[in-house]
Formats: sequence, structure tokens, C-alpha cells
Amino acid sequence: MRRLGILVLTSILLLAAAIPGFAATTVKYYYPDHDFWWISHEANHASQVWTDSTDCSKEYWETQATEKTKSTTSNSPEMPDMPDGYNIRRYACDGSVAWSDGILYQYEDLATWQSHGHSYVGGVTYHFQAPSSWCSLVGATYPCGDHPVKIHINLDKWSGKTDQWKIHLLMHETGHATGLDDYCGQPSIMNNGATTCQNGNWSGEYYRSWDQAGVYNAYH
Amino acid sequence: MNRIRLAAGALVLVAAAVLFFVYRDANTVYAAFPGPCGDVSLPAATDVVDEQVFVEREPENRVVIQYTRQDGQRSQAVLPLKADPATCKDPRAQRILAQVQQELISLDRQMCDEVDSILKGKAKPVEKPGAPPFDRARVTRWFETYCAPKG
Repeated sequence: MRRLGILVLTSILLLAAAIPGFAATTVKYYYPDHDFWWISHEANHASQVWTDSTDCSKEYWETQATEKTKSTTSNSPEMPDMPDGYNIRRYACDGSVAWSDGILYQYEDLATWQSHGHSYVGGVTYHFQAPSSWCSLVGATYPCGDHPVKIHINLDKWSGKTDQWKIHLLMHETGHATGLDDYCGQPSIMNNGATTCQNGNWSGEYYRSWDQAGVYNAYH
Repeated sequence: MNRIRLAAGALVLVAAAVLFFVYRDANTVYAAFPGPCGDVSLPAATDVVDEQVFVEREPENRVVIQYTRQDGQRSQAVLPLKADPATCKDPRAQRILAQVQQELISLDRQMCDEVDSILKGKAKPVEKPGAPPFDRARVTRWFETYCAPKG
């Protein structure tokens, strides 16, 4: 009888392991190794993630999004050894990905958007796993995280939207960039706008404590 | 009696394994084999509220596209990274794969161009917090390994 009990328990554990997010209470993405080497491999995770952009006229929204992301994740009790939080900063808008850049915001008109095969959404985050050549350039062992992450922004959806919407979109996609999944359990920067996800709510341009816990878990 | 218990235990394990694969496959649209792209079909472009793309290099060599639909349902499609995009049955899958392959070529070229400019003194190495200090000998070796024309 004891043997049967052990087998049943094993089966339950197997099932639990099979279901992504079964035991998760945070919004860490469940794919392995989708994080920034810059954050992962530095003491106290102090390294900065730098952003570049294909459109210098978007500076206001990008700066707002990166500064709100950093300020609402810094000195958080949820991120005890990450005093600088999600240490992100807008760096340039030359449209190219330097070897030390982390994220490129790439704005696309509707024709380009469709030619890339995207769904009709506000933004799509592309995680490019860093090649072994890049890992060796920075003195890391492959696999060493994402390099770069490209955030494609749909200008057809962007135009006419409020500043709040634009900043929210950039913050949401930037959350994906660091390894956060969509999250619907509570109001969150990672709510995805689906009607079943907090009634489609799409507001609150800051990281709440559970979002902060998600970032922490992505790097620990 | 022992045989019955063992049989019951084995049955439970088999059921768990079946449920595991049923669950996994219900949430994943895998291309059947590497090589040709396969008949992966993507959701309608207007039925999606959130989309992410994961370009996974070796050893996986695949592109994972994850979708959240209007009703909150989630699914993912997997394309073989090195397949010929023209062999994808879904036209959107063709465009995504072609774009990703183009991006990878461009990213590799950009990295080599940037390092080449630095080594030739046309550009300065960017000093950013977190970036390792510039080591000319190491970077030169790196450039010769990954960027110098072969043959």
C-alpha cells in the first residue's frame, strides 16, 4: 500500500512539473535563459541595460518608460541584492545594435509590420539568444542570455494613442525583454490586455511588488 | 496481491506520462522535423493581444512564437530556424522566419563591422558599466576567429 502511495505522489509531482507556472507565484518567464547577461553575471546585478532606438523622435516616451522602470524597481525589498533594480537607461537612437546594447526599440509602419508577419498588436518582443561568438567576446560561456532584444513597435497602433498608453506599451515590452511573462493574477505592468486578464485593464505605469519579485526571480 | 498493487502503480505512472504529453502537445505546435519548415499554422493576426518571439540558437535552432489571444488563451508555434522560409505552409510563418534569418545575418555583420572599426582605430570601444574592459589582443583574436574571411 505504501508503494502505491509513493507512486501516486510521484505521479502528482510529475504532473505539477509538466504544467508551466503550476507552482509559480510570480511572473518570471518559464523559458530558460531568456535574460540579460549584463544583469545576470555582475555582482549585485549592477550592470546597466542600454537601449537604442530607430527613431529619435520617440525619446520622450522611451525615456519615461526606462526611467519609470528603473525608479519603480530600485531599492525594493522584493529585490534585496538588486539595489539598482531593473537598471535600464536610454543610450542612443542610431538604430544599430552595438555589442554592448541590450535593447533596440524598432518602430515599423504598417507595411513593414505586415511584411514581418506580426500579429496586429502594439508591440512584439524578439529575444535573440546571443551567439557563442558574442559570449566569448564578453568573456562569458555559451549560453549567456539574450543579445540583443528587439522590441518591434507597431506605428499603426501607436499613432493617436495617449502618452500614458505609449509609455505603458514600452514598459510592458521592456518587462518581456528582461524575462517577464504576461501576468493576469493581479493588476500588473505585465497584464496583456485580454478581456480575461484583469478585465483588459491597461494602466498603472509602474512595477508593483509582484512585478519586482518577478524580476528578482528571473535572475536568481 | 503484490502483483495487483504493482499493476495499479504502473497504470498510474502510465496515466501520468500520457497526461504529461497530452498537456504539452495541446499547448505546442511543433514542426514535425528539422529541415523543411512544416505546416505550422499561426492564429489570425487580429485575434492576438500579445506576441513574443524567441530565437534559440544551438543546439535547439528554432524560433518559438508565443501568442495570447483575445480570450486569454495561450499557444505557441515552433519553426525550425534553419529551414527554407518558402517551405512554411503559413504565409505569416514564412515572413517571420525570413525576417529572423535576415536579422541574424545583419546582427553578426554589425558586430564584426563594429569590432573592425575599433581595431582599425576608426571608432572607440564603448565604455559602459558592466562591459568588460577592452583587451586589444583578445578582441583581435576574436575578430580573426569569427569575422575574418575564410579560405
